[in-house]
Amino acid sequence: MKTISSNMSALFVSVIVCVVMLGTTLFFWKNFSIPSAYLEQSFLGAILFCITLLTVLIYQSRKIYDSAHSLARSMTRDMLEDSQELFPHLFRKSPLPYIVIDDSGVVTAMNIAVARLFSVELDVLVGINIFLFLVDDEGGKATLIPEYFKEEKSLNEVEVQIRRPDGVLRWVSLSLFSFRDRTRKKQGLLTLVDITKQKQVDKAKTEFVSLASHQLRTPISAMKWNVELLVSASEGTFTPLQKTYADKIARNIDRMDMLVADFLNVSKLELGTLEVQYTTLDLVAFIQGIVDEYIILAQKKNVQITIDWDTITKSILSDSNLLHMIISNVIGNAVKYTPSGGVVRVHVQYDGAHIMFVISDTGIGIPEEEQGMIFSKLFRGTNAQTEIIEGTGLGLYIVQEAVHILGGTITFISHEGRGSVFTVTLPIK
Amino acid sequence: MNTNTHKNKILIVEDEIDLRDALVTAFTYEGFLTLVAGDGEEGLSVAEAEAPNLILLDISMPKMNGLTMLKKLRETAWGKDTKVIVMTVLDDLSKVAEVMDAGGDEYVVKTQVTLTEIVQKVKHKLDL
Repeated sequence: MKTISSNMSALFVSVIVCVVMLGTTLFFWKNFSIPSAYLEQSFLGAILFCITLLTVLIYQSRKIYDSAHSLARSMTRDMLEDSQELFPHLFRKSPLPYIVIDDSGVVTAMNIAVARLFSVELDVLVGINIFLFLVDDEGGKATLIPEYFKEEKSLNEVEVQIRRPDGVLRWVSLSLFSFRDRTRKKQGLLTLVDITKQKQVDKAKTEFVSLASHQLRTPISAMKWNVELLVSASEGTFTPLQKTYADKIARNIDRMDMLVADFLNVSKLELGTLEVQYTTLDLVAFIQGIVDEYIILAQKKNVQITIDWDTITKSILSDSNLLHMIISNVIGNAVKYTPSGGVVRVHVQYDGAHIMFVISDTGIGIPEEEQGMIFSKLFRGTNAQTEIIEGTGLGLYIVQEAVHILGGTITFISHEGRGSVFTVTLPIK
Repeated sequence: MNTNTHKNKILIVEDEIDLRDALVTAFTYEGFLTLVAGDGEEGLSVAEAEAPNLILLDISMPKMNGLTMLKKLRETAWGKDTKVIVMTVLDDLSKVAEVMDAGGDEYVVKTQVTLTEIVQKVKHKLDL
């Protein structure tokens, strides 16, 4: 760099001197009466000087070019050497398992983290097809992943199981992209992040929620049935006060069951342990089954429930647990908040891309100033609390979360004292 | 195998004693002949010996769960047509679907049904 700077300075000075000399000569020629012989000699001298200077300039420029070129080559060589040393080092020592594969999936390079993940010595997997270690699942990922690679489609954080050479199964988050090397040959770069521990924690959470659900509900059923036997066995012998106490016990057992169901659902939603499982559902039987859950309550309250179908689609692909959460809560609310003599209508509609459940009631409605909060956790409308209607305040929160998981939307229209219409729209798979 | 001449002989397969006793009391009161078993294995052997008209079958049980018992029952000549009402606590509807696919005739959610309602369902299933 110093050489280039000094050469550039010399070039600059030379140009200035040349211009000044020629300029001065011309100035005196034009403005002063100097004998032409002197002028001719001076001008000739100036020309000779400039030629000499130009020669020096050309030589210096050549030197500048050579210096710059040499410097560039030197810098490039240094950078190349640095990267040749740095990047293989980064690849080898990276805490992330990196595997380079050829166009058929055969390992051409692997790092230490891969050796650790597979519990093998370094480079043992070189020459082996990495896709052979993938364990297939219901989604057929072991087949899909190589197909994606073949079509040069990138994969990002796909959860899949691998079976190590020692037979041990591990869960990994797999990312894969393909690229072309200098000879245009296709290669792939694979990263595998070990998520086995995370999966175990998720499984433990799911099992805990399921166990809690079963363990809590069993004594609730026992209490419910034994109170029923107590009342039935004591018929005629209970005083009115004793009957009232027994009814309160029965009512609170039902309330406890609702709370357990809602808290467990919220827990599943918030822990993210709900695994969406799409199965084919007989829509007619499914909706009828949910309506049947509320038929006895509806009959007790003299509330009529009707179902009508505006669709020929009688089966859909959905998650039965989530769909049950949604439809059961909305129909349940409609029945609960509709006074005696009222009507709850369930209308099922299909527009080609979506299935719509429109549940309307002639119930107490939601006060306008409270409508913005009805999907909040533990929120209950003031009119619902005033009229002492049982509820946990979690139902619509659960519905909204479940609808979002299924990729749908929920909207409503409500008028206090007149009723509500809830519309759940779900995309068809 | 015993030949059943009754129309109202039922088998209750439930591991929880308090639930089982409540069901026995309710059905006995209604004039049913009730048999009991505490797990799927016992349930199969009682069903083979006594040929009940209907089985009330819990899903979650030790030793052999309701799903396994139902599958084995449906593989037998004597059990393939026995009416089965499955009892569940509704923590997993997909498990219920699996049981229904295995040959269950109906299911009830224990926390959402009274004893009177279960008795009515059984009477309806047996045309009593």
